[in-house]
Amino acid sequence: MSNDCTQTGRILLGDLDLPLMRPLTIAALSRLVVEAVQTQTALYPIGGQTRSTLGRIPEKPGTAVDMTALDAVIDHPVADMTITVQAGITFGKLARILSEKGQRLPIDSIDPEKETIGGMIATNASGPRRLGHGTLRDYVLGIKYLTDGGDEAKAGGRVVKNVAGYDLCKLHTGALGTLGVITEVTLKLRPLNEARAIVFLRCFSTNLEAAADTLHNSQTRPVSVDVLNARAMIALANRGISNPDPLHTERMGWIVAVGFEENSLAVQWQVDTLCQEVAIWKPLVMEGGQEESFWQGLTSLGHSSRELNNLEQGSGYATIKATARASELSMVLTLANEIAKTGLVTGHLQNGVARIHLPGETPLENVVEMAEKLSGLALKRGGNLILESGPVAWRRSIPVWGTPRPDHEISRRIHREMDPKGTFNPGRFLPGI
Amino acid sequence: MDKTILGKLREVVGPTGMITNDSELLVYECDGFTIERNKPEVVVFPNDTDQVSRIVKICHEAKVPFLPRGAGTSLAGGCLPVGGGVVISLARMKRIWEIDQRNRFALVDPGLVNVWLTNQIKGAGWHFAPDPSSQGACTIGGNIATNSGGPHTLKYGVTVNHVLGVEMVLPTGEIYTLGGPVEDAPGYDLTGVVVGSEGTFGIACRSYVRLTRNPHGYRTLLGIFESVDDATATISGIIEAGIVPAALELLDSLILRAVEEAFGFGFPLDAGAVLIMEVDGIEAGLDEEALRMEAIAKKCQVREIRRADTEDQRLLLWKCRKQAFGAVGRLAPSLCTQDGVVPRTRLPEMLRTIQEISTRYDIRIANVFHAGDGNIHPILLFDERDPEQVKKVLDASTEILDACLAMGGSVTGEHGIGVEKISFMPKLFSPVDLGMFFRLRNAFNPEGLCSPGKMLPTAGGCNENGHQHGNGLEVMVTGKKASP
Repeated sequence: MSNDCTQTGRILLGDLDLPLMRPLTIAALSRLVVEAVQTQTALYPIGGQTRSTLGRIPEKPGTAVDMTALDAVIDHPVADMTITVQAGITFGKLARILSEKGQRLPIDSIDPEKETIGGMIATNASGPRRLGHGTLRDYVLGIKYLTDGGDEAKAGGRVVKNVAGYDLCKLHTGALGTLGVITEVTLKLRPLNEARAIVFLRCFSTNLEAAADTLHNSQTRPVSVDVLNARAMIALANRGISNPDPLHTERMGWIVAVGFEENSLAVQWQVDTLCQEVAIWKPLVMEGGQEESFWQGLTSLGHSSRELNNLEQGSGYATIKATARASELSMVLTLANEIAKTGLVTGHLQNGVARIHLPGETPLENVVEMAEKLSGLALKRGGNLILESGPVAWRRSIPVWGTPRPDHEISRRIHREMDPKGTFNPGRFLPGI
Repeated sequence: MDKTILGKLREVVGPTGMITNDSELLVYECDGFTIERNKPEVVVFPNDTDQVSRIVKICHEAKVPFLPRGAGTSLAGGCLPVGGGVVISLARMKRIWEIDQRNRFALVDPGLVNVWLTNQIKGAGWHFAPDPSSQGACTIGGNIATNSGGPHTLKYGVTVNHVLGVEMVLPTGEIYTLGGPVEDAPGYDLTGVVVGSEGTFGIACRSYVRLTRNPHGYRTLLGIFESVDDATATISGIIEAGIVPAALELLDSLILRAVEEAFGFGFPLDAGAVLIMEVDGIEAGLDEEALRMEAIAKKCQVREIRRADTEDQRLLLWKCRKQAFGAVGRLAPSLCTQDGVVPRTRLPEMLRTIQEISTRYDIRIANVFHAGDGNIHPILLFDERDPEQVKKVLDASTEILDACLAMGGSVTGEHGIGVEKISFMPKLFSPVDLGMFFRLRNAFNPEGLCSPGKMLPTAGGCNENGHQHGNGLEVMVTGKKASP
């Protein structure tokens, strides 16, 4: 063992008890790759450990690699609105560097101080504001990654517009690290917004769909439209985020949160306009600094690291994600709210993404039954059901990546070409990858 | 071509669905990049995905090269049939299958002309955001192949940001639907990697595209500058100030003269450069943003600011911009449009370099480009009948693109690599990078029959263990190439 790479401990990934190595240089990381390929073992890159319970249960023995020492800023040409960073940088550190210059990466993070950019890209992290700002795939301009030869390869570049070569940035985003170890990325940036506000609407399951339709036809252009069941709102309130209407949540109603971020005149106009458009849903306005913590709280709901560590002991929350056409999401949310008696139910209403956070102690047979019901409905509506986080037993019993799609065959063909020996994070992504 | 293959193709598309006559085939020997040409042996016109699949199966079995073609507006030789073979024209597949405003998408055919989709939905307050200058002619399938941009991609993103799913015919003839209208489909982002793959992964047939709500209002300013330097300083100032304009387009004096002759907009002919600055969105706050841009332009010695106050004025201004390439046709018999990218802050330096190259080669170069993205489009004016001029144009183009690379940029922002820029790929990417590109292509197109000779170089370009493909086609073509 050389001094640019040390073992810092062990880590449990599913049932695998793995040595955790911490390379300080790309060269050291490269040696780990070469060794893994030679010994036909696996390499499991680890960032902030915020999503270690995502995916199927890995079985191939190998080494876990702590990426957090590789967190340098390579280049930040401020006026070009781009930044190049190593993958191990945390979202929080990046956000601070950017905000000093009036910039940001407009992606919601579940745990800014822990989550790394590499991990966020590998898992295609997103949150409420994806409606207005898009997801990470829209911001990765260039990427470097280690191939199965241990060489650093790149795709894309450092300019905001570029169509030279295949867009491997897109391919790596959401690939769960199965195509190589992401080492460096160039990101497109946005200016910080001048103002923000959230308008809360109150409704019940019977008129959730009508509220969704009204919002669809709104004159405003929200950056987020989220819906929370009463239990989710209470859970947020327990974390110090003010509940706009405790009485409504007591009556088990839904809260719809519509967010705006822009210049202050545009935000003000939209808040006023929306309040008129949705007057029957009794809108309440949140302004003056709490919006950011609301979005942050909603992103990390059911996700915080503390809770994940406790999953195997039956506490904390596991998360099921259901997708459907946006017009059909109210139906999915309503069913989820009915059957997940103790679950926190939330949804990105105009993106067609719902999440059900279930207490880890929920009996497995109940979870399986719930997943079957939800999956049936989601599939009929063009969507799918994904287990985003869960105890090992759940992940063995529920198809983690949902009902297989025919195009998964193409994903497998790509994987066979790019990681033929199954070195990178094997066994966690789609079956066969 | 073997008569039995032609017979099989005729069975699929019928006698009116194919061209084999030499003089008619001439149309298909090149696209907007006219420096290299090669005639296909046959052009077929399928009506639907199933026919495309059957055609591809015939080609696959007979090991005949084939490639898709939309409107042929590509500027980098993307639809040049380098290996001869079969051109699959998607021009007859131009239906809009579904418009779902509630779920913000449309399902459209590959041969649908870009602007037709927007025309179909604009009354309802929606549009398809990618708006290449050729949008009146280019097709959505072609936009997908090249990941097209356009003036308004500065704010709204390029084609890949607006494609949700693609129905693909793989080079074997298999049909797969990648992605779809529902977000977060599990698996790799196949749609994301297929967009911009220049037809080398298969043929994108129907696609699910994102619909975008129309902005409430626009403020379109025309900044008239004495010099290109002042205009580019304004661009940097606007981006740095955190304004996200909908578009920032620069036209230099040579372009202005051509456009003025063609459209009579009223551009001052003695200006060094004109900058179109547009903000859009919610009406509230737009005036303030426009004022901020104006203040920045004033700091950069703008001579005059005009506003396109009415919708008619705005549309005329955009017509001038989008048809600038056509207008330049008045200045010379032949044009070569380049497509480099530099970091936005390097624009002033880049434009000075172009000026210097123009003088040194004695080739006139006009500039009209997406300034906000750092995406330059120098147009080299020449006469293709004069071999000496052709050589000068190719050499000058190479110098311009090399300068882009030296400044940390790229050789193509939206037109694609095609055949024109293959020789730059080894300058942009290492053998390891290229090796991974080959591996990826092998997952889709292992025999290289689909769009051969595009995007990736062959000789010496690939050092990956056993992944090199020498089907002979690409080598042959590279040998023939009058390489820029």
